[in-house]
Amino acid sequence: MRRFIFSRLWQTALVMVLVSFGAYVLIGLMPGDPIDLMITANPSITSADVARLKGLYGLDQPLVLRWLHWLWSALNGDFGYSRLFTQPVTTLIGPALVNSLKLMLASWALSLAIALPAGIYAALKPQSFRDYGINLAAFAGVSIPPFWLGLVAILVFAVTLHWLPAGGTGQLDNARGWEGLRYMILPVATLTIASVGSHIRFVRGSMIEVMRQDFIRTARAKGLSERGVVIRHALRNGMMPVVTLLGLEFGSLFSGALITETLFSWPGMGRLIYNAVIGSDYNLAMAGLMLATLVTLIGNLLADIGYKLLDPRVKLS
Amino acid sequence: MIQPRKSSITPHSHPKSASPWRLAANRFSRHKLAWISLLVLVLFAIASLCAPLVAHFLGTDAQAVDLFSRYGAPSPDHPLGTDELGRDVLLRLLYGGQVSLMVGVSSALCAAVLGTIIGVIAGFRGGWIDGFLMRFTDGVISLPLLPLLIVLAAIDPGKLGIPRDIVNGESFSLYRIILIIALFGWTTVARLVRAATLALREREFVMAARALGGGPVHIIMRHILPNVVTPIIIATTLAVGNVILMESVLSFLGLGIQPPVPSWGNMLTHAQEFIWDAPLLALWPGLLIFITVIAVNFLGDGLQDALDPRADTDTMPAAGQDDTQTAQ
Repeated sequence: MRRFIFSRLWQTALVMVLVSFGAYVLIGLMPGDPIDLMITANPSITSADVARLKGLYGLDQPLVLRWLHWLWSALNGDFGYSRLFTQPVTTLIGPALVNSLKLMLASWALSLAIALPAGIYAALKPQSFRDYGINLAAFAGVSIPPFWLGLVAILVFAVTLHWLPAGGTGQLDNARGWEGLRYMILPVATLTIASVGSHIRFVRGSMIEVMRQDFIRTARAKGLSERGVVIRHALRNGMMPVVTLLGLEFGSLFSGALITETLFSWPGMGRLIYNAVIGSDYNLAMAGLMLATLVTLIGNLLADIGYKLLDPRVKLS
Repeated sequence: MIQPRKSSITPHSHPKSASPWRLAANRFSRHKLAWISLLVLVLFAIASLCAPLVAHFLGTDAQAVDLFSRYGAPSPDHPLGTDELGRDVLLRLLYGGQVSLMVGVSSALCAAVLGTIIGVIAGFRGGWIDGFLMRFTDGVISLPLLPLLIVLAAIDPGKLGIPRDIVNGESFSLYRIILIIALFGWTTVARLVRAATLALREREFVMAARALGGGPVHIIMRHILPNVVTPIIIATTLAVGNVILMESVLSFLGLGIQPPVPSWGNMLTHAQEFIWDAPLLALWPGLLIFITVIAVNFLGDGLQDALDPRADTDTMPAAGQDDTQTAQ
């Protein structure tokens, strides 16, 4: 086990380094090069000035060297300054992370609270009317464009009914307690509906798979009530793949909320990454992307470890 | 699947006609939803292909800006009204449908080809090539999809040395979005094909072909690919829905299909601003995306049941794992 974790950690570190190089190259290809901006802003700039500036910022050096420099600074905790917000990147990411976590954890819990009972309920009677209905709802959830769902939610609850605010966190209005929570309702609901469909399908598939196994038949044969079969035998085994799902979901924690946060002006990581990319804020985009990747990889790692802990049959290689 | 399926051989159908395709068609026909979905998709495709005809009939075109009739209510001239620039909404929806369906199908196909090539090589070659390719696939799957897509969509192709007049061309954003989404969409197919190839490689008929002196290319084309085509078709169909969602998300964020070319996603880019003036404008494109994607998903589900009855939809959905990766 320890060897497995160790080798996976190595792998994760390797992927991080590779992704950081890829991201560095890609982000450098975004429009809005700092020197280009200076050239357009100041027509009297000469090519000698450009060369001098490039030398000053180290832009005359080869790409790999610049990347290594970035990597070294990043490992020392220095992600540079955000051009868009004129603040160090690290001070921007902290609060955004907290905001994203609030949103994501709430919708995560809500989605599971719906998906677990619904998926299990559907799986206990496959091909029945209720299975059909739940499946249909799950399909709808998977197929709905999340940004449109958010738009419709704003349209109905903010524009037409005036029940809930259309966006923001309410921190500017000093909204606390219930007032503050009201700002979370629409984004959390949107995120939940967007993810609950795939959760239901996953739980349902996993449970149906388990209910077919021989040990379920054995449990029934020894005279256990159906309730006992489900609770004592099926659930324990059927929930194992769900643990994997949780780990994988953990990864989309920040990237997944990108649309919802942008739509509802929620100052989280997703919106920060989006703004950084749109505003050609190289340092911020780079840091955001790396953080999103790191979280995703850690989520995958935790999923693997959790799965192994729960199911000793899983071979680790 | 607890209930036994009805045999497809009924007194009405001649037993001899029960070929595998016949059986598949029978199973597929039991899926009413899949049939309705197919019908809806065909209708959408025909309707969007007829966009020029509709334009001719209405006597206007999708690009015609009329600032005097912004947010127009539905009228005989504009059956669904006009948008924030006074353009005809119906026409833009139809042309947007062309774009969305085209992107969905072609990107899914590109991803399928890419995934098949990678999967076949990994499964057939085995050894360190397999190990490397599968680690690579795992790596791609574990990346945060949406942020990376956004960065990829935001890069300036001019910096890659692609000439400006091509970059600024109207259809460039179309090809670009197809390519970008395909770059991340091949993993499902690659894993399916690899697993199937690994199993097929050891089968007697492949060994016989090898013993008869068949080269690797011959064996792959003649014996492996025909046997993995079913999971590829199913995965690709399901992928079309995901691609359409992705395209709409990127276009909505202003990073996908660039105006003036309409797509269902970019018609909603400014929806938040005009939602107070013309709420219906925000409704149509999203509704069409929703209907199209759900129809594609039902179709894929039905196809899975029809073509691959053993791996029926009640087992762990192959696409389910990917569902969690889609944009939320």
